Amino acid sequence: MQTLITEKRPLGWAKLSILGAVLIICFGAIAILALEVNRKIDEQAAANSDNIQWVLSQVEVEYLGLLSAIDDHEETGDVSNIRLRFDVLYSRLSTFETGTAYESLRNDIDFAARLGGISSTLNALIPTIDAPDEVLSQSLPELQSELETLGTPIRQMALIGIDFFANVSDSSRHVVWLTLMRVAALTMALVLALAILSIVLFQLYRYAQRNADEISAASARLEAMVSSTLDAVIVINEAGRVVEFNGSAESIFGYSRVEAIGAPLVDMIIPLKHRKAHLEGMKRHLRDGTYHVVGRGRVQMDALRKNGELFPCEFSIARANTKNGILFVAFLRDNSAQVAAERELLAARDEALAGEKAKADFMAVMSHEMRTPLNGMLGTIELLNDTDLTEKQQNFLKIMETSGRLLLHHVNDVLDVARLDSDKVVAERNPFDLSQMIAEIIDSQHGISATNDTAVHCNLSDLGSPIVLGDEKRLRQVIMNLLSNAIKFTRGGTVMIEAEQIGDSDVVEFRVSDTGIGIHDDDLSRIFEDFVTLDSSYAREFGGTGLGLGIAKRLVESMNGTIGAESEPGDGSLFWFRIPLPILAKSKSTELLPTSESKELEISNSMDILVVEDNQINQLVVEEMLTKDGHRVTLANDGREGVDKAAEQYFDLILMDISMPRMDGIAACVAIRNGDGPNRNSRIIALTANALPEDIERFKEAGMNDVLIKPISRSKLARTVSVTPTAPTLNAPTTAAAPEATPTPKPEAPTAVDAVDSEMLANLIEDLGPQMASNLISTFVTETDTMVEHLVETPPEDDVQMIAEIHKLAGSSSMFGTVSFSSLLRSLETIGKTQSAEKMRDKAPEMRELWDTTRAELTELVEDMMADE
Amino acid sequence: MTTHTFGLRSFATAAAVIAIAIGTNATAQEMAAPQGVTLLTVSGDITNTNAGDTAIFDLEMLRALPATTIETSTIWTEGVQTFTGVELHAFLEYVGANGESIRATAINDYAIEIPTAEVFPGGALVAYENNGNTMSVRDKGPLWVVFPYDSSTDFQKEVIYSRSIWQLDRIEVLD
Repeated sequence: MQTLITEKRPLGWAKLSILGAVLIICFGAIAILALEVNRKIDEQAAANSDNIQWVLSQVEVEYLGLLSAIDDHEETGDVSNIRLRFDVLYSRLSTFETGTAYESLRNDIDFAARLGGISSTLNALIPTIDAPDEVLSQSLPELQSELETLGTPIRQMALIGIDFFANVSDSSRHVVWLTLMRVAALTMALVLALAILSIVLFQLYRYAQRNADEISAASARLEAMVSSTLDAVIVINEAGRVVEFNGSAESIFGYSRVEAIGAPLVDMIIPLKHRKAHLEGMKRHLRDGTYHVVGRGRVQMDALRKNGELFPCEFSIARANTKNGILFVAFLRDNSAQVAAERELLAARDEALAGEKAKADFMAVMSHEMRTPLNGMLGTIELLNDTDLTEKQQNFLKIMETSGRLLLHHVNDVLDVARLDSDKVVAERNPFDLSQMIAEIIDSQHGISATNDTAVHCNLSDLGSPIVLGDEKRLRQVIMNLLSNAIKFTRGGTVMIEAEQIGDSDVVEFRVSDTGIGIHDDDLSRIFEDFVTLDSSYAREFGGTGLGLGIAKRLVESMNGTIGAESEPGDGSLFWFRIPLPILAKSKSTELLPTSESKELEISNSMDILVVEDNQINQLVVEEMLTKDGHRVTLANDGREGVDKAAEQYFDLILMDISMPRMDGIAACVAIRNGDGPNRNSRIIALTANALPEDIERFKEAGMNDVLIKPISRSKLARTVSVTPTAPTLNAPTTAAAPEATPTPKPEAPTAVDAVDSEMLANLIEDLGPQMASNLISTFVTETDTMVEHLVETPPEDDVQMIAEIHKLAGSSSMFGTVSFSSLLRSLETIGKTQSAEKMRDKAPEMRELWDTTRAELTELVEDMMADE
Repeated sequence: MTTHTFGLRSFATAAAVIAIAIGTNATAQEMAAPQGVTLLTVSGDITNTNAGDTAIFDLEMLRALPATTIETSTIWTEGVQTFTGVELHAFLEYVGANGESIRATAINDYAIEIPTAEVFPGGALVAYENNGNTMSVRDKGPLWVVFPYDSSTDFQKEVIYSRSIWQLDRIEVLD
């Protein structure tokens, strides 16, 4: 509204007042001049000139009167008349001499000379006049002749005077003329000013007219807007009474305009529960000028309809200061439809999400449920293959097996996708030997590559044989997928696996290239999508779900990496991916273990062993020891995974750590024993670093066959493993390892002298080989550095968590013969579990000093031993 | 003064005799006849008379009326003058003038008219003394109608100057 009427004015009030002042000055000047003219005219009036001339001529008249009186004396003899006439003449002349009115005239020399002459003559005659009558009578002839000499000068004086005053009149008339001219000029100016004023006033009138037109147009527009808007517009005054209520307000709130105008708003549309707050808000606003709602944009609140119905209402309030006081303008919108729509949308989304989740769950469950019977089928096919069969039957069986394995592969793919899509699990970070892993992958693909007459090479360039920190399982699966793909599409060519560290960063790039059929550009962009199988007969030949690369992409991304492919149709393809993979140690050797070597290690009584252990170092050690003894090792990272693995495949032995995340060893053991999987009767041996007598009792109750106390040596392990492999002795757990370790470890005071058991360390190096042992020890040292710092400086707030971390560290340290350190850790764990967490926390800082000593001794010992090798 | 007005004396004496004669049986019983030389004769529509239908005054009679003294300059004299006399307004009241105007006439028969509406207290003064002295005919005496010219520009006009009649000896009250 305001903006509509603020336009520039044609003439300001200042200018107008200046013009007014000019007019007043003109009027004033004219009035003054008019008075002046009036005065001048008065001066010019007949009385003035007549009077002067009268006075001048009167002298002559009186003079002649005197002479006539003297003449009359001869007849009457009256001298008193002569005296009176003389006195009158005298008084006339004396008036010229003294009167201020004749001052200018007196300044005329001729006049003054004659006046002086006449006066002196008259004065000389006074004694004669005042003499007694007789004397005067006798002197009359003398008096007469004396007086007659005055005739000429008196006449001349009168003429001079008349002439003089005629001049004065002339100049006076001129002054009047000048004044009249000025009046005329001023009158012209006044007329001009009036003309300008009337123009200005006309402009002002037109401007005001235009403004009025605009204002009425604007208010008409506003009126139209307010009445046609879909929002309710309600205007209230300071007293909270409605002064405006538009059509939409009528339809939204159900009150008619007539009902609403003048009624208090609060009783109409504010719900009961908000009324007090509303009134207080109004009061506060009017008192302090503070705003809670006014001018704060859109606010959502419940409002009341006439029929008592509450509905969600979105509104904004603006304040307007008008001549008639403060007005509040509220724009309100019935939001019930929108809120309902939002609610429906939300419900629809939730439903869709639930459906999606159900689908994913279904996929996961189905795949899982399909895998178990498939495994059964495949096992049975293998068993069937060992029976007497005709060649035809063997062929059928082969087809069945191939189909079964393909089906299993597909199911595994789907399961992977479902898991990767649903799990928010972050990639794990554990140390492992990268070169060995790649060697194993190549080895696993040996059959197909041989069939395809394709050579598989590996080049880790300057990485050597590195121990890296990452998610071994996922990385393995990615490389496996890429490699099997490459081999699949390459006949009589070469497949190359390369790995390279990018600069000094932790990022490692892996490349799998082949000299196969290649991929068209058009297809390159979609090969990482799900269920993509390139539509070529060549590709069809191999079948597949088309999930392989999709899974690889998901896996790489879950490890915070990127994946891509380049290809030249006919020349081959290159798949690459980059992932953060910190290298813990680089081996000097760039050689890979010959893939065939593993087969040489096989010995007659090799066993399938499942190692369930959450500590990666322990995993590595145990795996290495068992592998060297010719056993086939499957690893599981925790109890649950252990149970899953145990459900898939039969193991001769399960080594079960006790303290693990998600599911501990005891629960896993119970699950396996109570399940109907292939391992419900397998031997299960507990692996524990801290076995209290009552714990061992619990392990037995859970179905453990034996307990192996950490630290574990190769010989101890070998002995325990080899005990009656085929006869599970549920009720007779042996404590074969007990004599070698402390079955019931008591908290011991750390001995500074002998922090490291050098014999145990030597055994470890011997068991694992210097390469492996050196890598492991350096990993252990690095990890322990971090852990000790963490436990001393920023211990976890949760007691259970702290105990778990100490336990884990104790498990690692016991492997390396750091007896004092690990016994301190165990005593901390025991205190924490059996006494008080507070006491444990108090004692925890001791770790640092002892670890410093231990570390020094360990490093020294290792160096010595390595030198000896 | 007496010498100059000798001609009037006999007339004045006669008038005084008439006034006395009338005074005994006329309405203006309180108005005495002049003892000295008659200076002023008032005729026309008046109620207070001492000489037939006229009222005549000598200096003593005029002095007996409430006197007023003004100080003012005039255009006919030099310097500030002191005039003492009886106000024309009071004088006309005294003689019981009822006319619309008066005609004042001088010794030499110079005459002017003054509307009675323009005669008011603080206005015209019939002066018999100038600067503490009686005035001779040579000094524009013995009676001179003056106005307090200096007190207001209203008295500095030609019409006022023309009404400033000197050597006054007759007043006629006109209907």
